[in-house]
Amino acid sequence: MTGKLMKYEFRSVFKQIGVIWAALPAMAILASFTGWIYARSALAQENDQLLGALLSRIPMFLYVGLFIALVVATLFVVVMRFYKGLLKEEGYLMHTLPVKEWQLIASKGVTATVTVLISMVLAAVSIVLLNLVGNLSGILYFLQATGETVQRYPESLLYCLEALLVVLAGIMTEVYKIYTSLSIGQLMAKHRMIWSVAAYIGIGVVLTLLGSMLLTAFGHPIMLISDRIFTDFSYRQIVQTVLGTAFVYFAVQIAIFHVVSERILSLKLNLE
Amino acid sequence: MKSEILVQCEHLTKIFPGKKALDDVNLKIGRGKVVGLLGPNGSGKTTLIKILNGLLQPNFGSVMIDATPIGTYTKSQVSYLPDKNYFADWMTVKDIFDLFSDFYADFDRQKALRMCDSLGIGEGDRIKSMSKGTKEKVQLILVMSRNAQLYLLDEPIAGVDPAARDYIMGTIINNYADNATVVISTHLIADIERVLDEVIFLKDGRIVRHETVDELKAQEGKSVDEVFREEFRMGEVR
Repeated sequence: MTGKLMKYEFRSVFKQIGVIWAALPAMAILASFTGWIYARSALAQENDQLLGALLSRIPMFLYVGLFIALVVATLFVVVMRFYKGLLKEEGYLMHTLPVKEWQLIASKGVTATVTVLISMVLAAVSIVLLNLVGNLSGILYFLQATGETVQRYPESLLYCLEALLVVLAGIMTEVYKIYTSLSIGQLMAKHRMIWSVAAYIGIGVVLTLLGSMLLTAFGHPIMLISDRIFTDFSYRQIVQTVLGTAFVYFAVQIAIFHVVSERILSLKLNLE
Repeated sequence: MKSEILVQCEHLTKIFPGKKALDDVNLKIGRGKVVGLLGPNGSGKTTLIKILNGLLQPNFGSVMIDATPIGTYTKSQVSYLPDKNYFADWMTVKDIFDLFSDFYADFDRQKALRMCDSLGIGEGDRIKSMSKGTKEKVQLILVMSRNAQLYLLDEPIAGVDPAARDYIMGTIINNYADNATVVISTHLIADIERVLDEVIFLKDGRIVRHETVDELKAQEGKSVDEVFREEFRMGEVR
């Protein structure tokens, strides 16, 4: 059932943000192409430089606009798919489906995390694509060098995979923090969004305090051996310890946020 | 062998800040009935229906549907029409039919298609572009296209014109599953009286009457509507 819920979440997300996902890399290629054309033609026709510069910049302006739209739309989708989907009118449909509350939350959490990841990857790819035309050899060289590095150090692929998992866990932590804030905000009779923002800030303060306490508790012993870390431990051990610790840190937060959101929506659902 | 009791509430109490919405409600509803849940605004009808759907949790007491506490099983057996429009804007009729087919094994898609077709609604139609009345009809079609054990219809005829009321009542009465029970919450008694087998009068969160329509008429010698008006008469303002 969670898979079926995710199918509808993804369908909803694609309908809302799919156009921007498709348009951003396309506009990056166009901006790269027009920039390249301008660079070549401007040398030949110096009298038309101003007009040419303006025309060649239009795709770039559109690209920047789309980039901003991508950031805003991604944040909007993450918040609104939970808020409108579970806490407003649509909640009358979703909460009466024969599924558990945790499945509703998990399906939205996973979908939102993947949505943010796709937006981040597309943003990065589009920046590379901006330099595509006229600089293809440079990009190919970069890809070739990356391939050679992987061949020489196969374990680097494992590190990348581990790093990706940590990034995903980090994104999911933020997503769940938003969900918990919205769940707390819906408990109020009025001004639910304001209360949700207040809850988000409050959770942030609590986490910062907890982080400081953990740093105080564990930071000192680490400082004591800091001068020996790079001699007593291999790079692999250091990298894996850092990544593993970060993953556990995020996973614990996700579990806590999930349980808190699930309990609130199961016991204190307050649909408008 | 299924129990003859479909819905059972014991000492059901729901308290909101500053108000007791349901107060020690004890209730048994059998199978194969059309039941009117009647009461003025704020009497607790929607609260009771929300509890039966699992949208609210009671403060005290217990609820069972088909001898099972409220949960995923009961949700699979209850077809609920809220007094809100619950469609997402991005959906088409096909999307919402797909969703019902995926989650409700008892959803009769062909029946829903026939009913939509009779209203000139196609599967490709976008929910966003429909009028409020058409959205309400599509929602009713979805609810009545399920072969559920219990239909909970919250104010299905409130705020609609007389022609639409006829369509809604006709759709409800002609489409509910065999041996299923239909609970209709409303304060517009005259429009639904002819289809009711039983009535429940709810006042200030308490059940003040629960009997068959025949019993009520025999006792009072009046229509349900007249008894309702007497029961809930308010002091006139002069």
